[in-house]
Amino acid sequence: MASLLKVDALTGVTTAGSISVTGEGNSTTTNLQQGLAKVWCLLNGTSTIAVTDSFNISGATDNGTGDYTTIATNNFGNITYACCATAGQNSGDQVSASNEGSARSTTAIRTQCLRSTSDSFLDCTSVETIRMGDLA
Amino acid sequence: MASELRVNTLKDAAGNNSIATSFVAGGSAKVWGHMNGSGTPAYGDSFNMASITDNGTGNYTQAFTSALANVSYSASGTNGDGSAQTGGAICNRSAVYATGSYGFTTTFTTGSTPAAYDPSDVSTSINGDLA
Repeated sequence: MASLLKVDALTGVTTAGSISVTGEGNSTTTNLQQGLAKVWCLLNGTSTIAVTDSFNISGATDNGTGDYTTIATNNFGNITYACCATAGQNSGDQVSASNEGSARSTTAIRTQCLRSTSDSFLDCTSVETIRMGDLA
Repeated sequence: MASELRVNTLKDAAGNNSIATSFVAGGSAKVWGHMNGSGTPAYGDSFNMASITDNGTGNYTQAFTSALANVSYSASGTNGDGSAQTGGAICNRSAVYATGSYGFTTTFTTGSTPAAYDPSDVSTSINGDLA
């Protein structure tokens, strides 16, 4: 029988911040809170930069050519969260995105975009980041 | 007391923002980690990660605590150094990966010449089906 639960908040019984979800194979559980992306952002980094779409993002800063900082609304509990980034440019340049480790904070992370063939920073039309970790 | 709730769909109390629980399980990252890959590799934080093996310069294997159901999972990663980059840094899936582990390499490109290196800031995330 199909079922529907209407609720505004989910909280674990044993530990408030920990809810188990049965995985696709029906034999292993995963942790709901740990598996959720806490921040994601698609940024247009050309001209006046703009956040195209996002979750838990309060803003972004243009640090210079191909150099951006995205800022989370709700902060992480520490600076050891994982952040995967990728970047692209309509010009067809091969681009790589890196996180600048020394500029991490519980809210902000700095992502830099470089041409893979010439060691030069490049403003990108799509700068995509996703962060996983523990919220404060 | 522990409890179990079986439900197909979640909505907020107003009846909006509906999501099937299959999307909750399918859309969650099953493994993620943030590690320092220089020296002896070590995780700052991780989820469902059992260990990391240093296979040589810019070559690592991550072992999962709970295995994935198959090797067709999606893996993404980004690496960087503790200072401003002077070349491209790329995470690539290596030939060595399995349901219980994921191998990847990190390279650093100066000009058009990529070279393996040990970055201080490595993030990886894996989406797929748990076993």
